[in-house]
Amino acid sequence: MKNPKIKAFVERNGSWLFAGVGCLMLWILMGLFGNGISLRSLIDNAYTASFLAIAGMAQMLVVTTGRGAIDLSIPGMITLGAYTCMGLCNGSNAMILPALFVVILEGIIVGCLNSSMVIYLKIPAIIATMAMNYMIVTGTMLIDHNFNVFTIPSALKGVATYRLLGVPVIVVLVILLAALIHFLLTSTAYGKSLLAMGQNQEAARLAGVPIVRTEMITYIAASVLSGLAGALISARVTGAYLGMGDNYQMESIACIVVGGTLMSGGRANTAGTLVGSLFLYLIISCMQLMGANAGIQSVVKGSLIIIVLLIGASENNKKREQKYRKTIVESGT
Amino acid sequence: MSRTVEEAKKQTSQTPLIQAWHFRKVYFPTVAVNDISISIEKGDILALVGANGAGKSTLTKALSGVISCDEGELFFDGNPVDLSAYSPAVARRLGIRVVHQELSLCKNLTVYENFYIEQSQSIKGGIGWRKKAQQMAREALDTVFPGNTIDVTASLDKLSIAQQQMVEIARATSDKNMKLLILDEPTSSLPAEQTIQLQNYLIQTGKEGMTYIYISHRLNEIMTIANKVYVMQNGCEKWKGQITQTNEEHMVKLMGEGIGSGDETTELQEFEHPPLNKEVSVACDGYTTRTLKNVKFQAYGGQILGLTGLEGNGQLDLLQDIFQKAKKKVSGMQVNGAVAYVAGDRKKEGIFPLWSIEDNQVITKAAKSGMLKYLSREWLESSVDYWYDKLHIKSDGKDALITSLSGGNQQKVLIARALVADADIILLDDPTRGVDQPTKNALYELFREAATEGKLIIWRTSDDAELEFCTNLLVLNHGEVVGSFAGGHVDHEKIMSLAFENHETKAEKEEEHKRFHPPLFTFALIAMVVIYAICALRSPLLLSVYGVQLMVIGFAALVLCALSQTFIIGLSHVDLGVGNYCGLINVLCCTILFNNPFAGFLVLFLALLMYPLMGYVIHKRNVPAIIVTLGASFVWSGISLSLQSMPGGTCPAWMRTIFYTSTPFLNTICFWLILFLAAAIMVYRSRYGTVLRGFGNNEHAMINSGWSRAKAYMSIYLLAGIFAMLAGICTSSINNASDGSASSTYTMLSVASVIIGGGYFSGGVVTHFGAVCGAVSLTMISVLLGLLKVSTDYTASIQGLVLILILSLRLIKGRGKEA
Repeated sequence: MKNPKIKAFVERNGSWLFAGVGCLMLWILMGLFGNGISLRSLIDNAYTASFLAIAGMAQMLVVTTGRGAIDLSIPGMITLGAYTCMGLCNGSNAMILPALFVVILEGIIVGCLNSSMVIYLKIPAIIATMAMNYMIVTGTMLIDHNFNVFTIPSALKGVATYRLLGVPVIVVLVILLAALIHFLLTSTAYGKSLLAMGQNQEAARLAGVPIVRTEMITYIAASVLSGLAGALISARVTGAYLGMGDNYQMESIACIVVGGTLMSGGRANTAGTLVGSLFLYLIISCMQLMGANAGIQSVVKGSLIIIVLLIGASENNKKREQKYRKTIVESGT
Repeated sequence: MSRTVEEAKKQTSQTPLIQAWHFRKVYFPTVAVNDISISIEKGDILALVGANGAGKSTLTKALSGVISCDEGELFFDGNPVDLSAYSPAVARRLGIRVVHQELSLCKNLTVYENFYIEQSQSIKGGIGWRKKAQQMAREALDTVFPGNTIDVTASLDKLSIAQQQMVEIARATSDKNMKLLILDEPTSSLPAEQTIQLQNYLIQTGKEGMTYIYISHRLNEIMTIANKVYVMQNGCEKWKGQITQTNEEHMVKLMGEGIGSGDETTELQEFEHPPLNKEVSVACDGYTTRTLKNVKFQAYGGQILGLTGLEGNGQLDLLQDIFQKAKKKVSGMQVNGAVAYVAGDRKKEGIFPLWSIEDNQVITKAAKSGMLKYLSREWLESSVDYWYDKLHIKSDGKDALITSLSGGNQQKVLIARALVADADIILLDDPTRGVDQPTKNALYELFREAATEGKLIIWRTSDDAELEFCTNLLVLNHGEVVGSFAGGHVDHEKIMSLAFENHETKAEKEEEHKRFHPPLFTFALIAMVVIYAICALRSPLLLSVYGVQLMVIGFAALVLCALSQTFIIGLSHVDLGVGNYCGLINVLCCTILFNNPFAGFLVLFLALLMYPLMGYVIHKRNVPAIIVTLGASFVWSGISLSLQSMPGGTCPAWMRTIFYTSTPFLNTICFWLILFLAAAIMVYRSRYGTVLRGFGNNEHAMINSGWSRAKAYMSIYLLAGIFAMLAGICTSSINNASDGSASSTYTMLSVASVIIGGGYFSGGVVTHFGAVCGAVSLTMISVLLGLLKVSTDYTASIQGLVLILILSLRLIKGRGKEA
């Protein structure tokens, strides 16, 4: 790379560019196996991926709080969001907004509980959110017994499936959402606080960062996003069913990893999360075109996650080596 | 070069112990060590002196093989050393040892285990190695620090920082093969008494022929013990000679000349005490906490209030409390004004390593300005520029990473952080530790300026010389203010006597402190017993042999997955694939192994190899384990799904016979489980198991002690793989069929088991027994709910609640450290 600007850009955006290149290759590959390269196939995949992208961004926020935090209550929240929305609407468009309001309320409650467990009871986030996920299942089951969850209000279905000039509305919405989150993370005090606490919580506390508030907002945002994602997913798949969020458990982690977000916290990459979710769906589409069964799809997906990680790491390792050497000089007191 | 050799030979008839010729090390663009030649005789105590970044540590690292140097020759005992094959292990074989500035101990191990991992070559014998290591630790500690009260069987994290430092030093001296010991700032956290003991020990053994290189910023120590001095500056030799040819002033002058802007090196001006600014104040009137007793003082803007006393007498607690409780109304303490805290331990609680200087500098101001404040480019620049320029931070620009700065400059950024935020009260926690004299002087000047502007500076310092720069002083002893001084005059003798008063009572207190610590698994054990007891109350059948067996069948696979996970979490990793792996083994056993034993064994063997392979990949490419295992979990479930799309298959009869047969007393599965648990515990307690635990806590230290990280990672992953495979085999034997996806819940449940069992995600603190208790508890909860006839709607949520309850109990018990 001769152009220093390009070089700087690549350095700053690191591993998700590899995933982006991967996406491109998969798209071309798909074209070769299918009916020729078309923008349409890419958009179709972006459409499916946009639901995962919302869950991925929720996961990204929580992971960024650091100390190995992962939100395992995302699948539960997706299912609950779907059930609440379908159950309350019962097919009526007028009920959509009140229903979404309730979904947001649930997200706030779940987020508050999650963060309280992490902050006040000092339970590691992985375990706290896993326990939360169990508890949400109960809520879902109660709705399941008492409400009709298979009639979709037409307006919601419209948002989830409508295409404007061939571009699904949902894709546009998700990109706007990503832009908002990116702005929050990079240019507001909240973002700085979140990234600081993710790097080093004790240092952030001593630097005067309002840790409790930052962490609470983050968990709440994650739960609300997951709930809304659930509502949209149910509109797309025509109804809510138990365990509908379970696939998003590992996939939400996978897509942010591919996107270059640090699992140890302190660095988030919103654009990367979008690319990561697209990448995961392109793999599936590609495999389906090649006629591979679900088992092989899963094997390839797993291998590619590791490969993307290794490619990204080989770049990072070079940088880390330089940094490590430099730190040796510095500690050379 | 030949000329210097001749010179060296002229000076002495005996061969020098170590000679380094023309050492050069470049970290582009910095020349860290530039053409250094050094020669040390047997019995010398050579003091290596220089400002921060002078290259002292780089030189010692090159001498001890931690880094390779670009050019140079090395002779040890007159023999040339091949520098291309030089490593810490080779240096140790020659007899060169180092006490590094950062402690290289494993905190999850006991004191004697720490001796073992470093001195494994001198502790022979199988069974009795623990006794021998204990004896060695005891002897070494008593030799260097007579009268110490360190319990060698105590876990290291129960020791104070000073005691840990003592262990580190004693451990290095216990090497019988040692000829040269390099001590890098050994006294930075030692109390006065131990510092004197160490000095006596060094002088004594120096006379007996031991050789030392001693690095310290405390020049009075150097004057006491060293017989030769070597002054470095900017990677070059500045001066060398006998101790008699120099003195403290001389050395300061040598170090400082030509560094910084010149005026920094001159004596600080007399300081006119500024007028008090009554709007800013900290007032304590009978402030009392667990560590502080009836603290009374008043401080106002314009003052520099020094907190002194022996380390750990409440200075830090007072500082932290002022920071934490500034905004809250607390009885006994009133704070007027915005507070900012400058951390002393830069790496641990100061810098944000992923960020630029600019971001690091502005964070406090940003965090104060409201969550949704838009931070524009202009806002950032207007906030940062003034102090960045004023502090002369030496860097490649304010966009450079903070980690690219030297320690002293990082400290400047941290102080700028407080100044940018325009805090009225600045709390300093020993900010000049490990900072060179010129930078120190610049910082002192800055504190005075801030005070002149009407700010209140509260300064905890461990360097008594700095008390001169305070306008007011508080001496703390056992959390009480035992003396308070105003005005610039410092009476060190008086302060010392106040600080040391009643010091004996403190020793008693420490004894009292050594009360019984319950083992980590206590809560998991209690939870398991309680839940089982309640179950048994509802259904007495559970107390019979048959009932126990029934339960064992229910939790066997999860217990084995938890044992597997314990090894991984013990390495501070997480395995997100263990459940699916268990399912895969289940499928392999019931399909391929059933149809064709030979192919089956081959496939199982290959599957087992996957685990050490993952370990190797994680080691080799430095990638997070959590993602590798996550990717692997997709692979495992994919393979299971391809082999068997629907649950089915049959377990080989011989396998069922071995693992799942009724005997007159108990089913064989029970015996196997006990055996596996015992095996896991034994492996972890074995000699190499101790090493593996060490890797979970402090990898760098283990590598520097000569252990291979690749081998350790592969061993741990192999162990985890074996237990995960056993889980799959037991599942097959019990169910006599296979279902690849049924075990996937074990992944998260096994993680939960380890944490319930008293484990922590980092630091290598885990117990296998606890993990088993945790796994049993988790399984028994659903049994209990079934027995209580709770509607299935609520089962999941009660399970979650119980999980949270057990983990919260841990907090109440006071083990509320981060997991």
